[in-house]
Parts: sequence; C-alpha cells; structure tokens
Amino acid sequence: MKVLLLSHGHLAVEMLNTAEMIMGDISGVQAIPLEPGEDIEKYGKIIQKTMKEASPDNLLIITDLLGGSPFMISMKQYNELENAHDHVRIVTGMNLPMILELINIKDNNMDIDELCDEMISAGTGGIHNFVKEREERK
Amino acid sequence: MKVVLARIDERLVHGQVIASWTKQLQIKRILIVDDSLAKDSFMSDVMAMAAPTGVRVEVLSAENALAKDKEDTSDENTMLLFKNVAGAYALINAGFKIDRLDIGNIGSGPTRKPITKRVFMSSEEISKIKELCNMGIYIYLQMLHSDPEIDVKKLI
Repeated sequence: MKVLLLSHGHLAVEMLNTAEMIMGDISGVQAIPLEPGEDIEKYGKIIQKTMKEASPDNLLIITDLLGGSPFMISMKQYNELENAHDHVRIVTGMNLPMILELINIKDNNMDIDELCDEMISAGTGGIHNFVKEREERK
Repeated sequence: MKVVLARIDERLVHGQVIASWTKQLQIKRILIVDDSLAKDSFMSDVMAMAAPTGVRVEVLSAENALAKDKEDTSDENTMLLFKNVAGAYALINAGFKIDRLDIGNIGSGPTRKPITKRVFMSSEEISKIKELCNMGIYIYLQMLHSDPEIDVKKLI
C-alpha cells in the first residue's frame, strides 16, 4: 500500500519526519506540502499522477483538514479518475496517533476500509482533556 | 437573505473560508453561486459534506440564487461565494443586491496580470470590477479576516 500525506504548508512533511523519529525509517509514505500561493492545477496533477501510479496497489491519502484545499483537490482528482474507488481512499484530520497506527498496520494486507477504521480510532483515541479526565477517575 | 460577506475566491470552500471566515463572522450558511458547479453533483456533495459543524453549504446556479433571495426572509448569517469575477458580475447584473464585495483569491492565468500576490485579473475582469464599483458597490481585497481591507480602486 502507498500513503500520501497532504497539508497546508509543511505539516505533512514534518508529520512524516516526526513519525520517523519515533518509528525509525518508513517506506511507502510520501508527504507533499501545499505552499502559500501555489498553483492549484499543478498540485492537482501531482496528486492525479500519484493516484494513477499507485494502481493496482491501494493508495491512502491523508489530509490535514476536511474542506481545506489539499482535501478538495484530492476529491476532485478522485472524481476525475476512473475506478478510483477500487484503490483510493481519502481520510481527513491527520494527527500523529493516526499516522503511528497506520505505519504499524499498513503492510498487513488488510482491507483498506478496515485499515482506515483502525487508524481513525487510534487518531480520535489519542485526544484527551487529560487533567479533567484524571480528576474524574478519582 | 442576510449576506454578511460576499466574496470572490477561486478555491471556493477551503481552509481560509471554513476555519477563519465562518468563525469570525458566525456564518451559518455558505451559498456558492456557480453555474457549472451547480451541475456537478459530486463536487457539490463534497462541498456540502466538508462544511464545518453548524454551517450549511448550498451550491446554486445564478438563476436559483436569485430566486432563493426573493423568497428567503431568514436572518441567518450567510456568506456568498463566487469562483470568479464573471460569476459575481452576472448575479449582480441579474438583480441581486449587495453593497460590498470582497476579493479573496484569484489565481494567475494566461490573460491575467498580478494585482497583488494572491489576486490576478485580466483586463476584461478589471473592467467588470470597475463597472460594479460605478454601480456603488464597495469592492475590496481582503484574504483573511485579520487582514486590512484594501479598496480595489487603489490597485486597478
């Protein structure tokens, strides 16, 4: 499986660097920044090329923000690519627990939607108002 | 219809719009007025699903936006979004009343020249903007809510 991390600015690139700091070298994961003022058409073409080249392997695109440009452009490319549903998934709300879980399970030959579910659980499961939760446990 | 922001933004729904503008202006509804997008049910769905919590996104043709404005008496804070100058120009000339128009992002193109780093316009677009200014509409450039408004007349 191939993974593409997309974000406004360098969040995705640094997310990958940070994940490597924790997990060691990671293969099959690419991160592309969307720079301020960048040509949207060109950015879309890069995503399109990645989608095409990944096939028949699965491609999981993870974007930083639902509704943001990296997400909208990915959906546009998904819509324009024939049979994209066969191998492409797009997940929003990138965070570190999600990415770490993904790296652990991405080479397990799982069904791509099951893999997304597990990864999303890890992502949301990593978010806590910790001080309050700890007080409530007492 | 209570339009609190009318904006030209080539990217329509994107990070600046959903994370900054809707929060700062307490937008409840985003009306995208775009004839070609209104025919694209896939991307219209994506835009609607990508709306932040508490905000509704609707995609309408200019004709339907005009009809909606006539029957809509709600006081919901509404943002009007256009993909380009032509879209805003067409709706206003069809009789939709606005008194202010924000130009957020318009990308470069073969016939467009830079007005600022984020706004490019062709001579045809500039003359449309001038025409709208002459109709008494205040047109300004403002990318983010925290940026100052710049009167377009100072730049074209």
